[in-house]
Amino acid sequence: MEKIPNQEKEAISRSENFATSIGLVIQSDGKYFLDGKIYAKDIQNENPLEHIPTIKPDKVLRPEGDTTIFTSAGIQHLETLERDKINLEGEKFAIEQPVVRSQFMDKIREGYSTAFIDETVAQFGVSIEDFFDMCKQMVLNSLNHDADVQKYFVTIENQDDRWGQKKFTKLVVTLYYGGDEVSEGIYIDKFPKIDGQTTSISEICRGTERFNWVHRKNNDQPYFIGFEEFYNLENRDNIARIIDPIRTATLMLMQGVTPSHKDPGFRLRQLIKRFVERNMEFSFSENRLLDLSYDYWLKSNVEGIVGKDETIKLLKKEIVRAQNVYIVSCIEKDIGKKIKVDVNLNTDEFVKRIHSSSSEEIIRAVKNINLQDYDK
Amino acid sequence: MINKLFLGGGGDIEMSYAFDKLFFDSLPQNANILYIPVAMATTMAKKEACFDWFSKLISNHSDNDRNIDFSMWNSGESLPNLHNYNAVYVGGGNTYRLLSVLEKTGTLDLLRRYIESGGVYYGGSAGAVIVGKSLRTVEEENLENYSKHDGIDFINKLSIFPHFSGSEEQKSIIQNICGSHALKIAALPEGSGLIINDRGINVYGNMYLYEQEKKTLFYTSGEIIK
Repeated sequence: MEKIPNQEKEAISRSENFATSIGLVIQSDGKYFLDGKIYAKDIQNENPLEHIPTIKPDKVLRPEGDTTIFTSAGIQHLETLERDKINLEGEKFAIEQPVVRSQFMDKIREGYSTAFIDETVAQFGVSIEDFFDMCKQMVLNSLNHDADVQKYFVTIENQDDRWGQKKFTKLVVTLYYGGDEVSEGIYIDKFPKIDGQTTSISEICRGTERFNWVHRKNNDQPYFIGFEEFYNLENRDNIARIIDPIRTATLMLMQGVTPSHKDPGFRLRQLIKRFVERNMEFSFSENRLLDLSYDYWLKSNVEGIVGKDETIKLLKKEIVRAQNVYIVSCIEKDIGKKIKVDVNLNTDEFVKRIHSSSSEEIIRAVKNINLQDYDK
Repeated sequence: MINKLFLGGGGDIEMSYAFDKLFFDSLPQNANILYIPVAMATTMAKKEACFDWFSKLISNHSDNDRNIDFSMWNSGESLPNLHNYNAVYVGGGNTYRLLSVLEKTGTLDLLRRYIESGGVYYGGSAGAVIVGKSLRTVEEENLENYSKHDGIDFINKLSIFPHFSGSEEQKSIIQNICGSHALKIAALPEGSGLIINDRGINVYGNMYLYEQEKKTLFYTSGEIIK
């Protein structure tokens, strides 16, 4: 039973004043347009935020006790700072953090992914005026790719949020380009620290892949850069739905996560199951997808704690298992019967044992499944 | 006999383990569940935390032979086909927000039809309250002043009071609600629950039945509410 006090009206009125000061003009529908005159003189100027030191990203798998199992935003580095007993006041950092957002696992289409690089600039102990200056810079970063202010709009809203036991209210400024969300600024006036005190947090962030895709010059440029060879179908959403789970699974595997029925390995298992189900029709090469994924993450400064060969071995074993689970599920769903054969066997052996121990009806149903040869 | 509705009184994963186990044991080995966390998941961070929470819950009831999976549905997403899943799990949080979102999105009608056609449903706390007759039992959660207080009313005119601790304060609140709104209220402690099947409304753990001007009745595991 959640009860968080709502101070929305007061906070929005306060933010509207600052929004005006950085050239945001409110419209009747509540969205803000950019005042071209204010922004025109600052385009191409030096970005003052570039002088903030870039730090090494956190691991994708967070230590037990943190807000989420997998790192889901660059700002979560503040949990690392608090764990290391660093005084947050005056801290500032830029980070290119690989993140996993499992909530999108079943909502993937072109332009979205369950894993990406979250570029975040964060400052602690700063005022709301400083925050709006950062937001102005966030807008300029996009305008430097396309200076047509008509293509942009901004929304400002207050949200009650919660990280574990920490509850707070935050101001969220979201920038849209051509209708697509491209970056976000967040201001938390009173973020509860573990020492019982509060501090203010100001951050701007964007997903690298999404930013590049939204601002693409060539309309054919896919969201998943480096995977162009797979984009040979008209339905790009279907392609994204196959690439995404392998790409995210590779990130998890190379950072040391192993498949299991318990988290974090359960998350990996969910992803690989989705790859197997979605790839039934398309038969994309899992080896090639993993190869490209591994190289992509390495190039994005992700540490390969587990080498590529070992990652391939682990991935293939789990893909074979996932296909066996798929067979069992199909039989359960379609003819209501159970198969009691060990799903950890290789597919040949798994199918052979079904043939020797099951009814004709089950054998016929298994033959109708378009099985992939993942054992190779 | 097939168990259809599991209505939990709330509590954390450990507290409600035994009741949850009855739900998971009723599902196929490779069950696929639709998890609806809209009572709680309003921001990116909360949605991710909800995903983690449900993942942990499933992990606690899985093993190497049982491959349970789930998908998560939130407001703003296209309506799910509930019949593609072996069960629907509606989690706790703000009950009024939950009912409002389900109603506005059309999901409430889908849920009603799904349950009527025999679908398996688990409601935890807020998810249990909305299946009852009235939301007046959790009226302090009505922060946005919603005017509707009616639940789906699938449990024989009963309303659910979750997280019942047995304190004098809670007893007095329940008696007042019974009096003001003429409701029959099932007060469920954390870890307890109701299972609705062909036999009727079965109690798991403890349950206290409050009704205006009547003596409070106590039910325990295995008993069926008359």
